[in-house]
Amino acid sequence: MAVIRDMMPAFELFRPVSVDDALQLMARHGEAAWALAGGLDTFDWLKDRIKRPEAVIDLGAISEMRGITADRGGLTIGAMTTLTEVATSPEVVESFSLLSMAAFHVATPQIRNQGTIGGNVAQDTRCWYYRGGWPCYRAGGNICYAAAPKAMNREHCILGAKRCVAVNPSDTAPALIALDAQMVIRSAGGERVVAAEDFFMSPAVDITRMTVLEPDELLTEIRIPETWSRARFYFEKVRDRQSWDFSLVTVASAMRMSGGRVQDARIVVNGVAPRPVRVTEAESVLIGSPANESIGLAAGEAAIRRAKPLRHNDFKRPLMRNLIRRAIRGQEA
Amino acid sequence: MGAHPHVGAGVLRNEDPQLLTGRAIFVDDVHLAGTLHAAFLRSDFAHGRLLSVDTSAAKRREGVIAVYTAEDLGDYWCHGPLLVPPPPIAGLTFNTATLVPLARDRVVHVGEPIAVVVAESRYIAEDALEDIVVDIEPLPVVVGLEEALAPDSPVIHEALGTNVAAHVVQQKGDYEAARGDAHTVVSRKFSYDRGVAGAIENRGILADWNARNEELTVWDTTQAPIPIRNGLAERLGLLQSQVRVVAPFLGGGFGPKMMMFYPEELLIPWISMRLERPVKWIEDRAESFFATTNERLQLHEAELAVDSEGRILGVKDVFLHDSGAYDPYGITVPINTQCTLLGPYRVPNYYSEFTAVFTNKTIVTPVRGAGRQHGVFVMERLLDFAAKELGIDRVEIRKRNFLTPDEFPHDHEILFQDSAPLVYDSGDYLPAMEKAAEMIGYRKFLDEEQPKARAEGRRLGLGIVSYVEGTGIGPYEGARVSVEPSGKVQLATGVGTQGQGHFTTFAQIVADQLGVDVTDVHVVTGDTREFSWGTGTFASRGIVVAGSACHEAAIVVRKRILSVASEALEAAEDDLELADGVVRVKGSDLSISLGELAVRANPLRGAVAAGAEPGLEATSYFGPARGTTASGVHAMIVEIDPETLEVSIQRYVVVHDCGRLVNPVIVDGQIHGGVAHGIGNAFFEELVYDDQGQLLNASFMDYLLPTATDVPHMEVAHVETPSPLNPLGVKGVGEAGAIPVGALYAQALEDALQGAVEIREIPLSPGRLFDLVQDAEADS
Repeated sequence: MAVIRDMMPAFELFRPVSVDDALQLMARHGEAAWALAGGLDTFDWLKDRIKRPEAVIDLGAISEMRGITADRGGLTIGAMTTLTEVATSPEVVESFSLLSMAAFHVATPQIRNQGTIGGNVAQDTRCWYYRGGWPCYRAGGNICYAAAPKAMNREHCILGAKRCVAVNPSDTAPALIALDAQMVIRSAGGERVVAAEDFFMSPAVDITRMTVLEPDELLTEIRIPETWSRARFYFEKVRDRQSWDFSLVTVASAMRMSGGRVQDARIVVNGVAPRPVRVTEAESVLIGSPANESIGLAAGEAAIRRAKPLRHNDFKRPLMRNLIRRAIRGQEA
Repeated sequence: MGAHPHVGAGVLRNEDPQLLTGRAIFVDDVHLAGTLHAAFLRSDFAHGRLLSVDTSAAKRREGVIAVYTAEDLGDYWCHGPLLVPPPPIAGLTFNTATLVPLARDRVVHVGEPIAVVVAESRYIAEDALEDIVVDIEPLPVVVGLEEALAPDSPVIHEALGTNVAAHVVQQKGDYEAARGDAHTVVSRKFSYDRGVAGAIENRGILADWNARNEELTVWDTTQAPIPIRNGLAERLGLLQSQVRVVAPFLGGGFGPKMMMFYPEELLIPWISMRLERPVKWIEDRAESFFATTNERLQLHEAELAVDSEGRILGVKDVFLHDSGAYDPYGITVPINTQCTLLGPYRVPNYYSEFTAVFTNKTIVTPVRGAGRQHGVFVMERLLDFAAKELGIDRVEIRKRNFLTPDEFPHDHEILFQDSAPLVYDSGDYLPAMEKAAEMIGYRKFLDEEQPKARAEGRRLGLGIVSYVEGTGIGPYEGARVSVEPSGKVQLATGVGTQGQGHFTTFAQIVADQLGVDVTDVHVVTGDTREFSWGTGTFASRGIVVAGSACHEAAIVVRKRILSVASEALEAAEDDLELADGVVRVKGSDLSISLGELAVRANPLRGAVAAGAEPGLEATSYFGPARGTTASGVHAMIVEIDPETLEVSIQRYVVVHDCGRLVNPVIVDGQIHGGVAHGIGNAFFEELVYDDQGQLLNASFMDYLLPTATDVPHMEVAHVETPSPLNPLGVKGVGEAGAIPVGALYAQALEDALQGAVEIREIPLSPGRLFDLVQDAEADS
């Protein structure tokens, strides 16, 4: 709405060199603190003068938050590891190529060089009403402009919307859920570990947050267990523009086969709901069946059965169905 | 090499070393000591009564120098000029509403400036914007074109009492009679929307009033520095010689930087004079979406009457055009639509009626193509539908209707945007179509490749469309050519430049006449101190109008060179040859350099013959009676993923005719850029307004420009049909590439979807294709 917004308003900038220092700062500033990773989400908010943190805590100097280490058949990835590092890491490519593919689909090479995996999963939604500074539910108001009768909402939810119809925009999030990743969260008070599946917040629980991170908490690392190492993976992101664009619908899946049948599978979609969604309806059609076209179609149909499109996004239903179908039939061979 | 070694050669660009090494100067690169920075407070509402603006808190903020509202402008506040008055068309209605420097009683679009803060830094200026308290009483908003004309619609400009900006009927022959004779009449509704120009450099202005010398210098991202200088001098009560406007390198113009006067262009110089300090304003990207003009929607209801062979008997088109909140650019865009719709075809009867409509949105003025896209889309689609209905091949129906070379000049009996009759100067359309069909492998694709792909479950489609582009209109441009004692040549013109390669193409034209290397011709443009007369770079006219002026001036200088050399070398002019920077007596080693001749032509002592002019210098002007008509055919093959409806372009072919090519590499570059713009328009770019006139996607996150991955390799070939209207035989090319792409996408996607849908709208997207496919499935 407001139109001239290119210069950030003033704030206090901190650049801690350890996680402990960062957490102390987070605790001290509480709600007024803002954790800065790659800056790709942050700087838009600040330049647009919509979010007004008093203290910006730049995590860029904390070396312990960067890097990828092998860990009992799995991996531990520091939250400040860049998306380029994740996409090209030999360990990720060899055992968890699903995550590599997902990271490669983020934006552009320049953005992947700067953006971090922690930032990618914790980023805010891209709803244009919310980003435009409209006083919507998510911004503390009492209306969802994107769900209004005449709203323009082709990029919004077809599933799971509660008061807010904005989607989660992360490309790596569905891959992490499919891989059953564990999110390590620290605060000055200690550490907790949350499954990736539970890391993302539904607006039904808290409409102002995209993740379970409390104001004084940091996502410090992501652990990927051995469980899905070298499984059959599928990743596809459909977007309007073939690079540098957010997803319309994304599917990420991991599958294990046994005797020509699907032994176990995790299928996750993003771009369709307020949080990345594990499509258990599709999984249950699939498990115990061959991964072929007809099962794929049945799983896809099952997945969209509960979909409720808005005024302008009915196309996401066939698109989501078709992507799930492809994720399954692609594993047949 | 013949008499013209440079014209026609793809020589490297003179300007590229500066641009590629980052040494080129753009407006924001100009840093003056003591510069103040301006930021504008803009309306959040699309339509409202401006009740009050309280700037007192902003003025108190440390670092703020001044804050101005409409009230503070005194006599300086007035409606801006009508830049392009409409042509004298019988029965025309035109309602003028030109923009104001700052909103006074009413705001009529989101982003309309209300106040300007001037501060020691842009940070402070933007902080201070938040201190301003504005009270706006919202009024009902006019967004849709049809709704704007409804009897109960709110009226944007009360004094006009209507939202009609213009109503124009132009016709030729008798369409209704032709319709009566028709074998088939195809009628459809079309909607064609466009978007921003997307120049990489937003607008910007730096004004510096030097109180001691009483001189104002303005660096401005304008396509028209001389008219800006003239207008500013007039408004500020200064002599033109007191005002210097510099348009340095520009990061793209594409039309919106031709608009004048933008409020910022009027205000920043005025503020600099009041504060006696340099003042800079640089538009940010979000701001640009609201504050810089764009192009938008037209809704057409059109029909095509053909005989049983598919020959056109007549066309009728009635359309609505979105003017936005003001109409300072007259009816240029819709009249371009009206005139370009006819394309390369013989259309004996034509009825075209349009209503331009005021809406509470950003002002619409030409963007590369300037309404031509809309017209070409309607005509090409109608031909496609007629071909389908009659069972005629789509290339064949076009060929049957092309004007033939013996029909030129061809008078369409209506008026073009420049008020001159729409007369095509020259053209030869059939060879271009045949060449394009051959290059894309038209028959082989339809007979073999497409059926084979379909059998494999792949959806391939081909599009092939034609268009013409009226280019190179008047009124005039000028050029001054001078040979200096260094032997180098200075060429000054007033036309302004934004990346078209003028530093090279103009130099090529002059180099051929003066026998020097292209790199020895130094082109100066975009600085009113260097050349005082001209209009600007728009309507694909640089090479045609300014290029011809360069040519004429160079011919005069060549004569002077030979005359002075004849005396110096004691040889007849006919015995002299001019090459490699020297004049030589043919068949001897007697010669004299251009530098020495320049000194001789400007002696320090000695008597000079009466009436002689000093120096090897000449100034010429060129004003064509009317425009030249360029043309082209685009063809492409696309593949659609049947499950995601993602589209990928497999091949893209352009056959273009802009008359004689001055520099084929630059021409190809213009076409490449144009096609990229066209692809953006056809498939990616859309300004999404809500029902309150709020633009929802004012950022490059949501407004998608095509990137390198979306723009295919293009195979470009040329047909050269010289224009008889200028000495070089050239036609314009700046907008060509962008014009037919919407029509091309529509035809190719329909083909790929095997006729399952009929596409009557642009822009498209994967999501929109899903909608169309689903609608078609529901209908069948």
